[in-house]
Amino acid sequence: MLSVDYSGPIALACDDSKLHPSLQVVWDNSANSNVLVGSTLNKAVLVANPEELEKLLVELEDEVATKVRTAQ
Amino acid sequence: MIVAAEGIPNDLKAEELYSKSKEVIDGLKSHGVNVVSYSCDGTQVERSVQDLLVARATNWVSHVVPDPEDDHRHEIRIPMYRLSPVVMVQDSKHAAKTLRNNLFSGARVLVLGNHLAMYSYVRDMAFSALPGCPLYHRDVEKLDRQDDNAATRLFSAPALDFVINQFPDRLGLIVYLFVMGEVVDAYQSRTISHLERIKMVLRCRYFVRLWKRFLNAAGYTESRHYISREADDILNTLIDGLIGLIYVYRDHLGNLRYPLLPWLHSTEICEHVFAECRKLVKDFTHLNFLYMIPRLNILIRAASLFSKGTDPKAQAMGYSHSHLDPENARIESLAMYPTDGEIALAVDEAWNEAVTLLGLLGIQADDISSSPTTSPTDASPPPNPDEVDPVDHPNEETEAVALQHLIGVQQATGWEAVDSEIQDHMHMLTCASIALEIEERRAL
Repeated sequence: MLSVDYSGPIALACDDSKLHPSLQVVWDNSANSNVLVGSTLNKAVLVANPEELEKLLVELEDEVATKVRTAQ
Repeated sequence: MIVAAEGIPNDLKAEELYSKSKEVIDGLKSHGVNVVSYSCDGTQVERSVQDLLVARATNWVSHVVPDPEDDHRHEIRIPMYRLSPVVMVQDSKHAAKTLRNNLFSGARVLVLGNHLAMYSYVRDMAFSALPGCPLYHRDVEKLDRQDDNAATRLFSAPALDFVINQFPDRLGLIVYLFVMGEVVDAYQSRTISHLERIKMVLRCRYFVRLWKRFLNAAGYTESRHYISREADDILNTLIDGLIGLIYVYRDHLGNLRYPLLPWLHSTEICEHVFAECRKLVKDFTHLNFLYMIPRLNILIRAASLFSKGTDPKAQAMGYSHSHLDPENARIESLAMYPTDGEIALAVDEAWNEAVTLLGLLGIQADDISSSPTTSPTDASPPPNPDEVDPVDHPNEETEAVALQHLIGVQQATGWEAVDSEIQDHMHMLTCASIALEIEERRAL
């Protein structure tokens, strides 16, 4: 918006869609760590080692996101 | 542009979704992004989020639309977030599907005066051997209730034209398709003026108000013979949302005048993004989605530049995207907003049109009191028209006689009003007298 110098009205819309429920590990450069993606905790879940991952997978079994909600 | 994405469970309540939406609105506003509308689809939870966003705002701006009935007040209350208004809007294409599904519902039959609107009428249209019907068999048989294109076809001008020409006695369906279709068109049309849009939505507002009053007076239960409570609520949000947007663009955007493109105030962009996601990975995970975001931005940008929607002839294909297609929109005319005086005139025109439409259906607006007479549950059966005394308006009769007497005196004495205002007044009285006489003869 800054690049086109626009400061006018904006329409915001929110909706959700079905996800394939899944917990996946990905390397996050900014956190300099592996993080677990796909839970409903809505915060970066850092994963230090395979043992911790196994523990987290059990702990978060009931907190896997089934939908993704977006605002656009 | 995707500004936020979050994984959520299936059973998230309105309260939690409200917090997330408020955080996004506040966050955008704090970064100088002027959010003017918040759109969502018509599900109960989404509507509850909107209700919470309105109820829990700390400030509101109110606009009062003049109402043709003295005992009604049409106030549009828009919540303020960080000192600027955010209008709550429903997605008009979702509303079209809801209104179509209400018409097709086996649980209700819409009673519009002496006429009905129901599924079998639409089926007759689709299966008619006569040429000119835009409906496909698949629109009525083994139908997809979430098919945007089928809803668009049902409320389209060719469909209305077809039913008017081929089934002219099915006035209930004709009027329903016209009035409801106009509300969707008020958002989707690229060319009509904002004043015309206001008139279209207000016509619907007054029509459903009088329709409900008729059902109440005649003893029909709303749960069986009127659109669903949800559809009614969605209609109200659509109507107030559009008028609210026009007020905000006219009065609350500072000195600069921006064009209002109402078809962009919808959730179509969300559905478009999800559709692009499913083209890339049919059953995507949260991580897939995060990886797709840069690619989605390019795909949406490409779609914007090509301004191309999906195939409007597609059948049972669910969502149809046309929000990026400006068609023949004239931006300069979309930046012209009606004055309060023009809106007041539109109110009168919309009311008169709603009354006329109801008259076509056999409902005389004057015959149904503005205050509810009986509740739907304990109401007596609909009165037999033959048993109703057609002339039972002592006050009106007295007024008509008095009016006729006054005009007679003026003509007999040859008295000429010198003042143009008085002349206009006399002219109006003469017209009123003629109208009363015609009404009396019609009743007889």
